[in-house]
Amino acid sequence: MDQIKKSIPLLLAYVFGAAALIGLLFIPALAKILTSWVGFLAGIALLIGILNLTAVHSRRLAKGNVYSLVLLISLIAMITLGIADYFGWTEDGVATAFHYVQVPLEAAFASMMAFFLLFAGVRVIQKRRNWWGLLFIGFVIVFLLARTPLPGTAGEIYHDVSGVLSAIFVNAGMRGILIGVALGAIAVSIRVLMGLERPYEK
Amino acid sequence: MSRRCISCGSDLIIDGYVRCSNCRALTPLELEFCELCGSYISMANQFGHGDSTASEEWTNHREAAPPPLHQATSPEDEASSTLEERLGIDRRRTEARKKDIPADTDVPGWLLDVDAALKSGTTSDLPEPTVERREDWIREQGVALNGGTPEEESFESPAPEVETIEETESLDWIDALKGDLEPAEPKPAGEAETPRISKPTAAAAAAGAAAAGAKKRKSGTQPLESKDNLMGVPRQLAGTELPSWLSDQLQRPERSEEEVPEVEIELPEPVRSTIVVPVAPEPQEKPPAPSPVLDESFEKWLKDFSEESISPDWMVEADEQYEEAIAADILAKSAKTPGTMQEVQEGEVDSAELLGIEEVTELRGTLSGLKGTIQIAAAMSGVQTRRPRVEYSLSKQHQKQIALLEGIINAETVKRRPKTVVKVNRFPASLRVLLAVALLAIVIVPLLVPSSVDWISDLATLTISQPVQQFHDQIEQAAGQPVLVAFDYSPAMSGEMNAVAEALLGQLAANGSSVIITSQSASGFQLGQSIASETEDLSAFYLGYLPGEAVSLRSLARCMDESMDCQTIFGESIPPEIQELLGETNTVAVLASESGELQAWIEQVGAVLPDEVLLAAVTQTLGPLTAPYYTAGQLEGVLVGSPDLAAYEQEFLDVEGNSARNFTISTAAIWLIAAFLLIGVVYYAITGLRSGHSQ
Repeated sequence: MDQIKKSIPLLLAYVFGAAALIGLLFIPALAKILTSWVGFLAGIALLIGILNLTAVHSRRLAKGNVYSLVLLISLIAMITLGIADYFGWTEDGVATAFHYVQVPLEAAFASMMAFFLLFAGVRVIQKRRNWWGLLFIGFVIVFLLARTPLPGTAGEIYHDVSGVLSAIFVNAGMRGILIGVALGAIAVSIRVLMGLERPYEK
Repeated sequence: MSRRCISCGSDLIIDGYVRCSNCRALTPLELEFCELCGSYISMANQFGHGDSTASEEWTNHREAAPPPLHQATSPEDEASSTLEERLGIDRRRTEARKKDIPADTDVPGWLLDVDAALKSGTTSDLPEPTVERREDWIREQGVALNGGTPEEESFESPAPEVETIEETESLDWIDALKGDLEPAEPKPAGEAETPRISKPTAAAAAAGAAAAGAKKRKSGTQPLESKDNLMGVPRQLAGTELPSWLSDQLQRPERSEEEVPEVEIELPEPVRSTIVVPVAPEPQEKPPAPSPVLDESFEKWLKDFSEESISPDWMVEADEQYEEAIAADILAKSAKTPGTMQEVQEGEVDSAELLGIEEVTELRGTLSGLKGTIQIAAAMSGVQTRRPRVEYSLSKQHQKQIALLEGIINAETVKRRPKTVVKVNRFPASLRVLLAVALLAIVIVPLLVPSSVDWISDLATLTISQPVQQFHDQIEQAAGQPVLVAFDYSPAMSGEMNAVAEALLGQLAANGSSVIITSQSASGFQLGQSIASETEDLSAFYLGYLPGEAVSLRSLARCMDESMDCQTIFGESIPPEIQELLGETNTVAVLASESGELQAWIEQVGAVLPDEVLLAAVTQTLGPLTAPYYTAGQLEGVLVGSPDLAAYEQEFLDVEGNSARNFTISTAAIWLIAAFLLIGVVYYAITGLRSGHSQ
């Protein structure tokens, strides 16, 4: 029975992976059908995720977790606003809550990143008092200042130098990273199609 | 007269002969034992011989019995050959045995019970013979045989319940055993005496069995009836007339030890010369009794329990063993050993002397009588001889290696110092507060006092980079055409990207381009929807949130292909006007804050529609990622963060937005951060160098 349980997902992965590959290369209509299936599967997965989230935080709420209570209240409130907007009971209720609650909160979290990055930079200087640490902080300062206007000729020279550094080192590094990521994705895809990797069994 | 076996159906009685159940040989019916194997033939005793009534009973019993396992041979075949030839019976032996076997024998009661049970079919009620029952049965035979008046009782079938024996009060059997265990009187010197440990004799065992027979059984079973004085053999089995050889064997245990005749054997001369009659040594004096420690009353009590008054069996036995061991030792020492064995003995003696162990004769325990046993206590407590020390020799090379290793170890120990734990000063709270206050100040003050940072914008003019120029150019070329704008940034980056989105949508609105707004995230679509609704004169169409990331973008790309008919995207139907606009769209502007979202647009839409113009407006964090794509030509134009926006607005747009002010504020903050980093580098470099020198 365990063998059957393991074999069915593998078989489905084989079949649909091969079908998607064939559709991508030779039969666009097949790829279209498969991608349309992904749509409603993604919607179902989202629904299941919401239900699971509700269940988890309900259990935590039973144990006395206050944050779970806040989450559940927020979830229920947004769902209620969405239903109300749909039926016309409210007007732009979801948008209002989004703009006046979610956007400021996320913006506040993002703004704190500036302080964290500054403290992290100072910590690097404090911990790693070697040439590599110095090199790192030096490049940070260079590229920080490169995005700002600097007065005079020195500023122009500085921008030229930073441009060259960016064009050579940054581009090369980014290209290397992107190519590596692409090759890794190809390798993982082949392994999934061959059944060597089974992420669906986890 | 014929009888058939219950199990196999073969004839049991054939013309005066009965078939033995053990060896299947035919024995005369009057015999009780098989001529071939000697096993008891119950057939004859149970039903007698020549008794028609018994034969009828047996026939009835046979009919009630289960069918035979196999077909028996027909009487006709058996009658074809003579009986003797078929059975191989020696007629002479049969005649000779007839005289020894009594004619009339009584059937034992237990056998009758078995038969009755078989007849009634209640064989399951018959108890299985157990060890205890067999022992009791044997013991009962001993009772009847030991000279006592055997009780005239028949052996009844044992009850199915477990038998329990009730011990009688008398312990005569113990006394009887004791009588046999009493040590023999010392023989006079010169007489040969075979040293041995006395064992309970057969007579003593019979006496014990007789006493055991006095025990009553709960179940009421009683010993077998017997007439003759035979041990263990019931009269029913043995009969009154036994062969002489058998009767002699059975009656032998009654003889006492004194009646055992001495067997004189003539030994050859060489052997006779080696045997020397040992002389019994003088009885060894027992060690003196220890001085009395306790008071007189205890001594008196102890005396009452001395050997003279009551001698426990184990003490008597121990004394006997002691005497016998001494005698054995004397015999061993006095006997002459062959020359070859003498050498071995001498070697043993030498080894014992070498080890310093005295050969002690074991008196007690399982090793009694053996010599050379090592006393454990003595071996452990005694001083053991030291083994000769083995001197190891080292070559010069080994010595050099040893010296080298020692030098390395010593050098390491010298270098190793107790590490002083350098307390790493945690980032002081005052410094953190200072940094936070400074950053807040550089952001809040310009908002309250805008002129405070005007001097920064006067320092240098904003320059337009080539990617920004091309971005503008592509937007201008798409005037009057539908443009697909993707809001793929999160609300966290809305502070930076909202200004870019507003500027872009403003320009598109000014150009008369219709805008199709979509997003890969629900929050992004909300942002786009809100910004588009605030933009004046903008013709906006909302495609909605596209779930599925790369897969949905792939579907969208097919819908944008004029050659393909697209009515649904990811299961969601597309309004007809949007379908038409998608077909006419040639420019796609992606507003992204994450690398994955930007890559998905480039790899999915850009790969399917290579002729489509793909523009990217990203945050400053994502700026380096766009460089390879721009260099490769996959992106036609790139707008990176607030600096490019400020330049873009300043150069191309007539709109006076907040981008310039935001840019100056961000510049001030960047300068402040850079200054803090520089100060930190200098400070910790100096302190690090100082600490390094001090160490």
